Amino acid sequence: MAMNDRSIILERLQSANESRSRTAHPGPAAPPAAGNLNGKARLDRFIAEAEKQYASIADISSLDDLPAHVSGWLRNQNLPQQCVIAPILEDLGWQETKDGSVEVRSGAARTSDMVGVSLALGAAAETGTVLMVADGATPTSLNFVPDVEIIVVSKKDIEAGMEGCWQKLREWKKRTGTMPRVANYITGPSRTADVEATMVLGAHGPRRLHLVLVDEQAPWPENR
Amino acid sequence: MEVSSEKFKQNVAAAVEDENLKGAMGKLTGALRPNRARAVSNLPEFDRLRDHGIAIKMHTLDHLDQYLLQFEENVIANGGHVHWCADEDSARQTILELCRRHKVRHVTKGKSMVTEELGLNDFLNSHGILPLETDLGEYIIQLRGESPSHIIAPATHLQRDDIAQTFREAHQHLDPDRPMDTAESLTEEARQALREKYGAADAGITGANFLIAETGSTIIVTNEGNGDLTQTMTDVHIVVASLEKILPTMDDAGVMLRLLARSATGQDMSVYTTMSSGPRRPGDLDGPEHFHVVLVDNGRSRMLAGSEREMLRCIRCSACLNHCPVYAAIGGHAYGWVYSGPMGKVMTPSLAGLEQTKDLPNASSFCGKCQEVCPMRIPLPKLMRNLRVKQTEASMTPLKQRFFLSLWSYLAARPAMYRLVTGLVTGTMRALARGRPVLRHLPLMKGWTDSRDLIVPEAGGTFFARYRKRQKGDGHE
Repeated sequence: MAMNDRSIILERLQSANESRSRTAHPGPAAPPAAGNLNGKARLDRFIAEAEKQYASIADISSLDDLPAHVSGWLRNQNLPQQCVIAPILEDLGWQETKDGSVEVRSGAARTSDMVGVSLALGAAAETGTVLMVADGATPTSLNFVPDVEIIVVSKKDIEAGMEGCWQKLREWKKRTGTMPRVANYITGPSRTADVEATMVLGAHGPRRLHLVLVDEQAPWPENR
Repeated sequence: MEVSSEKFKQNVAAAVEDENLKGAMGKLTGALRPNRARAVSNLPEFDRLRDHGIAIKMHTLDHLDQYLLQFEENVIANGGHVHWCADEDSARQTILELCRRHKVRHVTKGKSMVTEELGLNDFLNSHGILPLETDLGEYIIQLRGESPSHIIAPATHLQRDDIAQTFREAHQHLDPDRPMDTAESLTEEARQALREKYGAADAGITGANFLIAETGSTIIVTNEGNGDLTQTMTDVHIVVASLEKILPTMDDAGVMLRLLARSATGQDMSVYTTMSSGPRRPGDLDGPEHFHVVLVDNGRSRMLAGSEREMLRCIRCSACLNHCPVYAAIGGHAYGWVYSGPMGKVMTPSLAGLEQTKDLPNASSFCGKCQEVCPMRIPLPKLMRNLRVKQTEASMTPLKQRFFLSLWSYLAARPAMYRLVTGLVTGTMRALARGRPVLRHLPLMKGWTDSRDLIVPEAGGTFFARYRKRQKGDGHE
């Protein structure tokens, strides 16, 4: 049945367009000025926009500082010293944190997990958005299941706008031979306005989003 | 879903009397109109991007078959499957067969207007498959057995008390004295109710805001994260999408995304924009094992060939609903089908036929606000007028309407008589008003004045009478 439908639909579409003069594709659009910043202006824009969308931001110089930062942040937030982390971050010496040892499990998230930690492939300064990809090293469930999500973003991966992020996905495809199963653009924590058009944070996904900016390159295979 | 647009007039009469609805509509438009205005004014390039987006859409519609074929090729290369469905029956059967093939009993659903169009929930239910809506608004209306009253805010016709009542009946295991008086407490209750359901479902069904030919990807744009939980936590992900959602490239999606959220909720970017490209890869720790895309025509190819072609540019942002004075007064249910507001007045007759929806394109004052705020600049008033012309040509307009229209055209073609009659009407209205600026009641027009005030013409005669007087005056100077 479906095979027959396919030819029926294609035939209908072809006949609908048969006698038309067809318009050309306009090509890629020039990004808006706000999505075309460089250097410090770009970083400042990313931080300002992410904060506007209710994300919190921290800054560390090296990935080795991540376990200590996470442990300290969890304590400040009155959260238990427990999280599920993306396997790509598992070699960071989580056990050796001086100020308290945060207990970590590496892998996909379960509904009992309170805090998830993962790594962004890229980010768009224009809107304070981070780009996550599904992979064995960065499972997608970390982005949606835990109540709180911590995302590590290398400053080197912050693009001006979405254009740079699409490019990162194309490079991923070139390198691995396939598109990532899922790419998630995330702008702030989950929210809804379905009750009386009133905005409430924490609809179904994370209630809080904490972005940790790091000077160092992200530990993706091509950077190693 | 059954079309009940033939009851439009009764629905409207009931809706304008509904004080609760009036309150709810005020909250929606009070939030979304200023939000959009702010978001658009913060992006100086908005109009340039809008024109670029329209050019992309026009090109894509001109080459729809080619891009859908390219999309199919890439979905298959990604390890997914594409199912083409010419109509509603075919789409429902295809989805049912997929559920049976994968032994699916419980389905979680992300928000999808095309599945509303297919009446999918009732259909699956009748075949022993239990769908659960996970978008907060959709969850609420599913519990109430209602249909969406807005394309992106499906429960916008309800107020907090209505939702609290619904939850009290649905969640009877919870403390009956729990606080339920804020948007926060109601959202939290739904969050907890749905949390465990995602992983327990055998399949997740989502819609798609866009399909990308270049990569064979489907895109959903949400704020809640339920669509992502729906597709991440199950073994089978079924995407249901209508044909016109296709875009050639990722960069094209970038243009549309800059327009979509600003036009819809007034956000610069929605919280989650998710691009799905097939099933779980080797080494993945989560995600579905199977990925199916159900492509639904159900009238789109007919629109492509006909005079409603421009409507296929629609990206379902809802700006036309949010800014429409008619929608704001009557809410979405009065329209009698899935799509409401100005876009619904064109979509519903186009997809369901003009015969049972003939009141819809007539319920507009053509104020033009819908076209003004449409990111795709769809000429909605023109499309509604086309539908009116079709009705008249097919002699579908009611006898009374035809009588008054012929009376008017008779008068309009006879200027002297026209002036005489309009002069008399103006005078009579002023006499009836006895100095008041508006008329609250008019003899023989109770139906009209019950919910509207009629503005009384100013002193000094009709426009034409005053114009002539002034011309004469000028001549003397």
